[in-house]
This record gives sequence, C-alpha cells and structure tokens, in this order.
Amino acid sequence: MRLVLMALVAAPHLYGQHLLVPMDDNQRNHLKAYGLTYSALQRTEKAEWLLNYRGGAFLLLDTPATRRRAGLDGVSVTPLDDAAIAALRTEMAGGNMDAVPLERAPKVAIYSPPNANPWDDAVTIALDYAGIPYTKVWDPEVMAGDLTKYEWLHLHHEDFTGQYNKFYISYRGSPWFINQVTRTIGTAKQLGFNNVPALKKAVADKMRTYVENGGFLFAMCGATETLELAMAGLNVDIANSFADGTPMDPDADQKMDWTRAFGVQNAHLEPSPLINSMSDIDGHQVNVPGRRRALGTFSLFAFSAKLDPVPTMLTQDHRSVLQDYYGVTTSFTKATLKPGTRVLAYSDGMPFAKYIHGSSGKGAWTFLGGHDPEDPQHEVGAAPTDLSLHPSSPGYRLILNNVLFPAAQKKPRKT
Amino acid sequence: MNSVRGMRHVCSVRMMCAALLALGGLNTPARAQESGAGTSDTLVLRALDLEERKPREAAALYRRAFAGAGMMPALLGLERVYTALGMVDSLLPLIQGAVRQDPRSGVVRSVQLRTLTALQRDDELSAAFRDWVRAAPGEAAPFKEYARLLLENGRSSAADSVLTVAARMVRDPRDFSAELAQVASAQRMWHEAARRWRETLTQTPQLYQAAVFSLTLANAAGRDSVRAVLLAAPIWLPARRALASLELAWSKPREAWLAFTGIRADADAVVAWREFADEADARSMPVASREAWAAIHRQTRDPASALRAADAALLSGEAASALRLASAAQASLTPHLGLRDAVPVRLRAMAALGNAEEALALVDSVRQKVVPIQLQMLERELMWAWLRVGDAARARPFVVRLDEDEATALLAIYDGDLEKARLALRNADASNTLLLLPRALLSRTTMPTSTPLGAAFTALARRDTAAALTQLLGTVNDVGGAAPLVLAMAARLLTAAANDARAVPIWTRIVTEYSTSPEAPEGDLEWARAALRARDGTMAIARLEHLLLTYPTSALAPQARRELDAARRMAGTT
Repeated sequence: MRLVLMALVAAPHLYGQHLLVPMDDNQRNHLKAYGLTYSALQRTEKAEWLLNYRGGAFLLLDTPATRRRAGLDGVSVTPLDDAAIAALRTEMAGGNMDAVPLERAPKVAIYSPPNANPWDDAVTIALDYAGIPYTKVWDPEVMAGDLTKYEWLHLHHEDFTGQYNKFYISYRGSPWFINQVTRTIGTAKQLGFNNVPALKKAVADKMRTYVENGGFLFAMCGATETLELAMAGLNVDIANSFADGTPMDPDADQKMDWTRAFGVQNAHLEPSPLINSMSDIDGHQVNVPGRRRALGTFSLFAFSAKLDPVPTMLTQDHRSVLQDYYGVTTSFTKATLKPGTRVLAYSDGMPFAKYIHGSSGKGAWTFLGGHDPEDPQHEVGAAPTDLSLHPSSPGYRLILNNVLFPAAQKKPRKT
Repeated sequence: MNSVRGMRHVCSVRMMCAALLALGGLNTPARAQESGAGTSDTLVLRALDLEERKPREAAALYRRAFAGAGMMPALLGLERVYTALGMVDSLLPLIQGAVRQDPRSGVVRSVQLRTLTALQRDDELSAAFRDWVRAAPGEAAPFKEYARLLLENGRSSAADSVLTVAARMVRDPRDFSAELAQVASAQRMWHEAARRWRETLTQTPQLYQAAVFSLTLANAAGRDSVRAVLLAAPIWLPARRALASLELAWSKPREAWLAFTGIRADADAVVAWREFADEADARSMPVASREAWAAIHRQTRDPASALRAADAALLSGEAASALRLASAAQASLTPHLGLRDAVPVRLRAMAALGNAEEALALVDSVRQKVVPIQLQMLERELMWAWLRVGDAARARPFVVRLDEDEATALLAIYDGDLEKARLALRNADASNTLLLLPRALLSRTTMPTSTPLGAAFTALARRDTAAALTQLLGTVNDVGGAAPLVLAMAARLLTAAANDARAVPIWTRIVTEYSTSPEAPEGDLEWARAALRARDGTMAIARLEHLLLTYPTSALAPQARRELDAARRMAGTT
C-alpha cells in the first residue's frame, strides 16, 4: 500500500477513474476515511458506499483533491479502472453486498453547551479527528427553530429531564457543576421558562418535531435515555425537587405517554433523588453500585445489504464484536424497547441492546449507549481520548457511520 | 534442539508412566493379577523405548500390557502411538472396555473424551461426557476436562455453558474458577477474565503463570479493564505481581514496576520483586529491573542487589543512579569484593557520565591493589571515559594498547582520519551508540581525511556546540553526499539551543537543495515546528503537508499527521 501511495504522489498523471477506500484491515486510518469521503461530497463529487464490501468501503472519484487529502490524512486508497470496477460490481452482486450512492455532505449540528464541560464528547472528538465540519447549537438556537438548517443532529450527555444527570449527588461542590447549573438556570430564565426541567422538555419536544419533519438524530450516553423520558414525560413532573423545586410526581410512571417516545416504552422512572439512575431503560446502571453490571463485549447484527440498507449502513465495521464501554446510559434493556425498534447491536450474554435505530415521521433516530468507545471506564474529568492513537477504532466507526448515513440517497426499504 | 526436546518428552513420559506403574492398576480389577504386574511393567517400558522408532511394535506391546496389569500406562501409550499411526479410532473399543471396568477413572474418561474429540464424533463426545457425570456425581473432573477440550477447539461459549451447569452440580463451585477464567479470556471478556483470575489465584496461586499467559492476549481496551481489576482494593500481592508480569509482556516496563505501588515491603514482597527483576532482565527491560533491584536493596541492604540495580541503571541510560547504587554496594562489601564487583561498575558509570577525571582518580586509587587483568579492564573503562569527553590525547595510549575496533574508529574520527575509521568500523560492534553518527556520515562520503570533521566530532564530545557548529558548517561543501547530514547535525544543535533564527535557514536549505536526502522530511518537520513556535500556523501547515505528500512513506509521517492536526487547530482550519 505504501508503494501504491508513493506511486500516486510521484506520478500524479497516472489517474484512474475511481479510488477505492478499503475499510477492512488493509485500511490504515479508518476514521479519517470518513472525512475523506465527506470532503469529496462537499466538493459535490459523487461517491458510493459499498456496503459489506471490504469492511464497508467507499468508492470515490479519482481527483487530485481526493488524492491530496488521502495522502495528508494517511488514508489507504487504491485506484481502480473501469475493468476493476466491473469486476468489483460483479463480486458484489453475488453476495450480501450493495452499493449505496452518497449524494451530498449533510449539514451537521452538535447540541453542546457554549462552555466546554470537564469531560469530552465522543462525537465532537470523532468529527474533529476525521475533519468533518459541524456547528454547535444550544437551547437558544433550538428554541429559535434553527434545527431546520441541519440534516444531522447529535446529542451526547445532556440530561433532558433537567436534573443534570443527577451529578449533584457526587459533584455538587465542584466548580464546573456549579457553573453548569448557574448557566443552565440563566438560559431557562432568558428563554422564559420557570425552571430547567421545563426548558429541557421543551427542547426535547423541538427535537422530536425535527425528526418528525425529516431530520436525523443521533444520540449517545445519557442523552438517549433522558430524551425519551423528557418526550414521554412532557406533561408529567419527572424531576426531583433539587431541579424544579417540587418533588417528582409519585404517579409519574403511570402518567408517561410512551407514544411520544422514539424507541422505548413502559420504562420505570427512578423516584429516589439519591440514586444516580434515571430509569430502568439503562441496563448497566454504572453509577448505582448495587445494580452495576460488568462490562463485556457487544456484537453487531448483520443485515441484508440489498433489502435493509439503512441498518446495514449503520453497522458497517471491520469488527463485529467490540469491547463494551460505560456511559451514564450504557445500554438499553430489551424489555423496554418498542416492537418497531431495530436492535443493531446487543450486549453479549445480557438482555440489553447497545445500539438501536428507528424511524419517526419522515426522519430517523439512532441511539448508541456508552460515552467513549476507546475509554471503557470513562469518568468525569478524564482526559479526552486522542484518536490519533486509535485511528482504526471500530467503536468510533459506528459514530461516523451515522454521520454519512444522511448523505445516502434514500432508498425505500424493501422488506 | 529437537532431539533434546524429544529426549525431555520421552523422559517426562517415562516418569509419568513410572508413576502410573507405581500406582499400578490400583483402580483396576487387574490388581488381582499381581503375578503378571512385573511383566506388564516390562512391556510398557519396552514399548516406551520403541515408541518413536517403531510405533507399530510399540503398539503391539502396549496391547499386551493393556490386557495385563498395566492398563492405564498402556492406554496412554496406545493413545500416543495410535495418534502417530493415524489409527485413533482403534482406541475406541479398548476405551469402552476400560470404562466398563472403571467408569469413574479420570484417566480413562479423559482419553475417551480426547479420542472422540479427535474423531470429531460430537454426539458421542457429548454422551460420553454425560455418562462420566452420572458415574462420578458431584465431581468436578468431568466438567473440567470437557470444558478444557471445548476451549481448545475454540468453542468457548459451549465451555461456558458446561461450566455454568457444573457450578450448580458440584460440591464446590470454586473448583471451576480457573476454567471460568479461561473461558472469559477466550471470549475476550477481559474485565470478567481478570476478575475470575484474581479469584482463582486466591485458591490456587500456582496458576499464576496460566493467569498471566491468558490475560496477555488482552487488546488495548481490554488491558485497562485488566489493570483496573488487578489494581483494585484490597491491595493483594499476587494480583499485583500478575499485573507486573502482564505489563512486561505488554512492553510497558515503567507501568510494570508501578503495579507494585502500595504493596507492603515485607519478605513476601522481596520474593516477588526478585522474581519480577529476573523476569525483567530476561526480557531486556532494564528500566523495570533497576527499580526492582533498587527496592530489594533498600529493603535488604544486600550489596548484590545494589550491583544488579546499578547494572540495569547503566543499561537504561541512568548512569548517575548507577554510580550511586554501585557506591552504596561497595560500602557494604569487603574491600576485596568491592574492588572486584563494585569498582568496575562505578567506573563504567563515571565513563558514561563523562566524569573522566573522577574515573582516573578511581583507577589510580586501586592501581596497586588489582592484578594486571583487572587493571586492564579498568583501563578500558577509563579509555572510554576519555573518548566520551573527546580527550583524544589521553585516550590514545589506551586505544593503542587495547586495540579495540570501536575505540580505534572513534579516535580516528577525532583525528579526522576517515579512512582509518572506515576500516576499523568494519568489525566494530554496530550497537555502540557513540558510533552511530560517524558510521552514518562515513557511509555517505568518500573523503579519506577531514580535519574539520574530526574537530567537529571532538567539539561535540566536549559539548562545545559553538565550535562544533563552526566546524560542521565549514565542511558542508567538502563532504559530498553527506552534506545534508552535516547540515542536519548543525541544525539540530541550533534547534536544541532554541535558536530558530539560525536553524530554520539550514532546515530550509536541506528541504530545498537536498530534497531527496533522508534528512529532508526531518527538515520539513523541524521547519514546521519552528513556524508553530512563531505562531505561524499557515507556514506550519504548508510544511507538514509538503512532508506528507512528498515523503508519504517517511517514518516521520505519523508524527507529522498529529502535528498537522494541531497546526490546523491553531490556524482555525480543518
């Protein structure tokens, strides 16, 4: 491969028609390969995602700009002429593989507070490393209706029940936590809400509308579970008194409207303000010592590329069994999933899903449990992950699959 | 080597057979045939001798022994020779007979399971396992053996199921902790594997090596889980010792020693440190070894440990520490032993530190007390001390007398006699770090002599960078193909002195005038770093992109990519 790259650089006139970006073990930098593909789409060059072919390879036009970026980023590419492309398509036709055209670079928004938190956001890290541009949005932008400007919205560790992930139990004296509370209360007042839970539920409702209208939402960690709780509990007091001044409605469980949630139903809220858990949606319960489940592995399901391209796109990876990692919400108890929710990955040997997907209205949502795929025990205050040390992270690939997924030309599901 | 290994194998088989013969048919009805036991023993021993050369004849003898009193060793022998002869299925009728005679025999049952596994008769294997469980209720052996076979065949999930059932059926579920740990390792569930191994070691500390072997395979993410479990409270020496071995296996010598942090320094700890230090030495990891030997010395005041620590310190480039340790050792040794064991180490440390005058004083102080061969060894160290500080005049008599290729080469370099240096380097030890740069330079120039180059290397040894710079830059136009290397040597000195104003033009010259030289990527990288220091992100990006696109196979490319990301962040671009 090094020889090929050197030849490409040394002899730029030897351009083929296409560049294959392999995504199997022959790829040196899987994560930057997504950035390479995204940049080609930004230049309005057509691209294809070759599902299940060589780890979910990309087929790009062979242009000087693409070659230059591949060289700079250390992404392995192979030039293909028409004959090679024909052979590739023949091979794909015979197996569980399919080519999905990628048409445009999706506009990406990340819901993130204006001031950095003391821990990191895996998606921001992934996008920065891959070189994919994004815009940060926060409550004022969401309430002003700015989400319509974006095709992809990411949420990470925000607590949409407005209870600050119950971090007050352990961190109420920490300067970062005090700042976070002060800032969020200020934002709520500025936007005309009596308290933070009311603001966050309104924001969650806006996000729900965004998906209903055709947006793609990807959430990780605590945002997954609390978004569902906030949407289903729009008209219920689900926050403890430290957050809104009143205790949680004792009948909150019965009053939840799960038809408003994306992928879960019939979950039970954690009523105690002193137990660092939101509900029984999360299987691993990392912050509740008596309930905490050990980390193992999780396995990606395989889907039919030709019949079921969307879940196939979301699960493209060069590994099918991955090391699990904790987050405020690590996994999703299977018993709480709605029947229409697609399980993309499951925790091995446990009744939990790790990675789920579904559609709602004209849009789609995807939830990935856990905080940082390369930091299984991630804790508040831990140093951010340096992805240059994990350029082929199979866990981070799942995040980036979601970034490119909205770029795909929509195909009706055939099943 | 093979024959030695084969001999060991035969010996171990012979010992095992002897043990089995001693136990005899204790569990077999053949015990009654005591008059025939001697005959069976003889048959088995004769078969053992023939096993490798004449397996068919050995098989016939084993068959005869099997019919007599030596059923167990004969069955094991038949298992070996039939495997070699590709006749494994011939074992089955014999095994069935043996099982009928003694349905609880672990040896017979194990052979049965192994044979059925080899024949891939999965249904019969499963039935045989169940039969054994019924015959030996409450015993762990059937589950252990069956799970082990499943694991060996890569069926870790099936092994896990067997052990889960076993834990409910046997008297003491802790019997399976080692097997469960192996299953978790096979399933790459590293947190669970580490937890189970830790539990296993509390019952059976002798499985320490198995635990280390099993956990060594953990990937980068899994290693953190393993570390967390083995470091967890309460602090427990066997767990920490296992982690220390794992860190060595993962090439993390510093972390390996840190695994012992918090351990109470008592006699058990000293034993563990000693084993660890030997392991680190065997793996050529002097950083870890030094820490361990030094800790042993602090605890025991044993001068031999201090000397081992000093040796390791020298190997890991910590000469000052080596000198301190060797001096401490000498203070605890008799004058004779101190002279023999500690003085040479002290001298090597002084030479490595460039304390030539101090080294000379030490040699002078013992000159009258050592025999000629010892003196020669000490003078050798003294010679290297002079060479290291660039004092050619004082090194010369020793170099001439001792006639070592490495020393001759270095002295010739100082003299500017490049031809002589070239000749001496032909047989010199390639690992001598003092000769790396001269060797690189000589391979790229054909000049027979160069006084300025000799002066430059001498000045470098004397840490006179100003003089070295003058000499290096003055000789660039004379050294032919070595010009970019000479320029790079000069630029490195300037960069180290934070003199970017003078360094950058030299790096620029290397990149532009010598763009195909091995130093050109380094030139780009250093130019970019200087630009970053000057807050010129645009220039830094340009240089790093040039490096990556022009020299994509350079060893510096991964580092350049990391720095390109940083430069882009600084410049606010992606």
